[in-house]
Amino acid sequence: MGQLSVIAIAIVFGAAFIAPWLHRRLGDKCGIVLGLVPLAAAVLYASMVPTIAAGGAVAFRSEWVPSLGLAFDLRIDGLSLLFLLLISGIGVFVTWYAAGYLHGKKDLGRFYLYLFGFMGSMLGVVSSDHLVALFVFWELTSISSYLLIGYYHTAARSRASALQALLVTGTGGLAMLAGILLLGRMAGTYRVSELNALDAAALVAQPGFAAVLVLILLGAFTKSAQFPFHFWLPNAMEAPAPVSSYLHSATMVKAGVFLLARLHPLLSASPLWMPIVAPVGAVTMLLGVAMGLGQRDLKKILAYTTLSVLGTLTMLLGIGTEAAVKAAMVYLLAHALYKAALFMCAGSIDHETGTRDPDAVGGLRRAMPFTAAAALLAGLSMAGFPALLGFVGKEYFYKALIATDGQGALWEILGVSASVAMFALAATAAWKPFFGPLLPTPKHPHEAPWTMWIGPILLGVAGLKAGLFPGISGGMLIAPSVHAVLGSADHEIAYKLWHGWTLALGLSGVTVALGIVLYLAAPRIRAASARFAVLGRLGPERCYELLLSGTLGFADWLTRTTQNGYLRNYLLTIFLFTAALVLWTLPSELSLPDSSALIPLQFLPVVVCLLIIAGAVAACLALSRFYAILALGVVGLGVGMLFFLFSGPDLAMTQILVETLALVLFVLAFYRLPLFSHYSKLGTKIRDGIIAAGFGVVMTLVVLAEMGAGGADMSVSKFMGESSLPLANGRNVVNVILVDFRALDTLGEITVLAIAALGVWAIMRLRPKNTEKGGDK
Amino acid sequence: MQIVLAITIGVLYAAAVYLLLRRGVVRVVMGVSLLSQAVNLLIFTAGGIKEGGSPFVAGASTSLANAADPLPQALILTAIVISFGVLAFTLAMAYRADKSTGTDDVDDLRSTDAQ
Repeated sequence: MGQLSVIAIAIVFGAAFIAPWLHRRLGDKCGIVLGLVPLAAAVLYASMVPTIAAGGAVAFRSEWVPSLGLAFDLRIDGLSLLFLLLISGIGVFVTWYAAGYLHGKKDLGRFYLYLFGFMGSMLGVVSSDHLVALFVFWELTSISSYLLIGYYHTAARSRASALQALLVTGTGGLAMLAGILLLGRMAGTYRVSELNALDAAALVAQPGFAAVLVLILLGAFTKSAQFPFHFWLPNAMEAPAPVSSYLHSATMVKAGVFLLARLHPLLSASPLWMPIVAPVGAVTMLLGVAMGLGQRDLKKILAYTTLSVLGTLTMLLGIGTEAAVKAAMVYLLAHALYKAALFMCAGSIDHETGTRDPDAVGGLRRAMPFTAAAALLAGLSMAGFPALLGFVGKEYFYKALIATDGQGALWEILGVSASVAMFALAATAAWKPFFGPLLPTPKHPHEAPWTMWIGPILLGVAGLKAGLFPGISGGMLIAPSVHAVLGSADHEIAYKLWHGWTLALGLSGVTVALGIVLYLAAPRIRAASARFAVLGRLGPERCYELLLSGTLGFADWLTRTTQNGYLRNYLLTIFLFTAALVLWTLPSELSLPDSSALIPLQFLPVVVCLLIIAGAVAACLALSRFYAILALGVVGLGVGMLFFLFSGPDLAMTQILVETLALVLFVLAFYRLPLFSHYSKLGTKIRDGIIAAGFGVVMTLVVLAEMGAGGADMSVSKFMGESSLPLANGRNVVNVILVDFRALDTLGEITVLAIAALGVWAIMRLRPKNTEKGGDK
Repeated sequence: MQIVLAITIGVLYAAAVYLLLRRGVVRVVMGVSLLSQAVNLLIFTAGGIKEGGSPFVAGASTSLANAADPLPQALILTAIVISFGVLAFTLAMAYRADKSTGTDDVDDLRSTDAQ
């Protein structure tokens, strides 16, 4: 059965790559065919339900780099299975929905490539047992999400939002990678199943575990858009509706929550877990609904409620009691079902009426009956009406908060506030557009094609069915996932719709009453919210913008400063750094040659040296090309003389030959080259002169140090001297080295000369077209 | 003698650096040429200098006795020839750059795009 988990991922990735081809063959219908792929994956995963409900797990292992402990490990337990079924199941409807929503778009094939790439990555994230593999899939979801958010790539806002999502989640991903590597080193394993089985208390007590926790939390918080990283999620609404429905409600943003749940048995042992995770979740929960109330765009409203739900889930996992985890899992399932449906309905409204302003649409129930029915079912679940899964979720949520030790009352107030606002927003998103008087819209409204309402209806019905018969989904999906999150199976999961007359039910009643009041006041809040828009400019998003523009500005400055295109500046940098580095190490090496080893001064060599010095100085000062050539010739021949005087006859011969040739070359070339021009100011010349003199002094010291050090390793030279006659039958050792021992070097040298000759020939023959400045004169 | 040689090499380096930092392309080419002379002499002295000890295997002996180190000499011999190739190529480049762009100021040659 382990292979099935790989096959499911493989067929989804495979579908991604044939999607563009399929689109060319079938046109818009390709979406309907492609929808069968996640359906097949869902069936494969569903076949695992009995095994996992019985407490088992499905595992697959394939060694990758055994020496590094890297393996492709998949392991599906209750938590994974819940996510896998959501991803593949909702994936079917999103694929069909996109076929209708993006009907007639030329690059629909590309869209499906991204979408299925994302789907496969997401399946990989939730079924990976190895943290490194999980990270790889995690980053793949970031990249495919970037491509999907930026699908309307001609719109600047769309591109900016995509980049923002990528940078925020990508940065978090890098932090998470650091956390994963630290954790792996500490624990000695990267496998989640082994990590969760470790003695968490001992591991958590290790020094540096706080860093692990914070780094991994950064990854989870950025991905799940927790405060203060929440801003990318509402901006991601630039994406087409099926993307928002899939990535930004049901799946990708839940990856962060998934990670928190996945590592819950281990990380929650840390004393920092609850103080960090629960408050961040609570802030996000309240911030989401508060900002959602001010929005005038159905998709934005849904995005902010998604934020709020993600905050709720994070908060519940932060509290981490059995009741809280149970509530989180039910809430997660309920939210995925209703939110995916509502996003699709919002997209349909936009598609069919041309507007997403909740105050501009109304009374669409006659024109769009199926969409209205789906939205109503989903909206009731979101609002938490009895008989729907959302109600069960909310009851568990309240029960978990009531049961929280210590500040139970505080958590209850926070939870009820968020639920009241959630109720009002559910009514705004799901009731307001379809009921009341029919309002005029930019497009004449009519029902969307079946591909666009079948998904929301079925998801809505699923929410109703799961609510009415909680035992089925509870026993098969919720209980195993709760066991996986808590890390043990000895919890009795009582799961039912009706809990009797409890405090939680009372709070639900209060929620509905206050929610209706808030819904009636909502249009006025929206109207007033424009005045507070300025506050949005001060939020964390401003930090992101400053950081981004600051980084770009710094990179721009750095490039302009260091890569300025002036050859002289590059050379100056190289020379100064070389001199500085040599001076750094030289003093410890410097020992002047002792006087007994010195060769006494002799007339001829000293005169040659003086000639060379004079030639070099003259070359620098020469005012005409003729004197410059003469000076260079003096230097070259002088160097040849030195070779001759100090036992290098071959060198001397070569040098003198080459110098003669070079002289001829200079004479030939210089008269084709421009006259000496005088560009530099005197100040620059003096500055360069000082730098050059300093560099010369450093090099003099290097030569002295090297002579003083003496005793170079002579073993190679000795071997070559001894082998010269017996092996190569030659007495001139330098010649033997060149043509025998290092013959390949000489071959290389000849090749270089040949290439240089070809280059010179080509350059001289070249007749550039007159497009360049000046042309060929 | 070694100290005089060291100073000579230092002066060659200084002159090469000075010329390389000039803006006229011809002077830069001259700097390249001087730099290769300086480097060759540096390597030459690295083996330790010796008078009257050419690296030949003399008479019936099969080893080098009291002779200069042949290895740096072999390297320099290659370097001399290569630097000649480099010189020819740079001169050709300088010629072509001048003809194509109408300037011999390296500060004007900051971009590969026609300005």
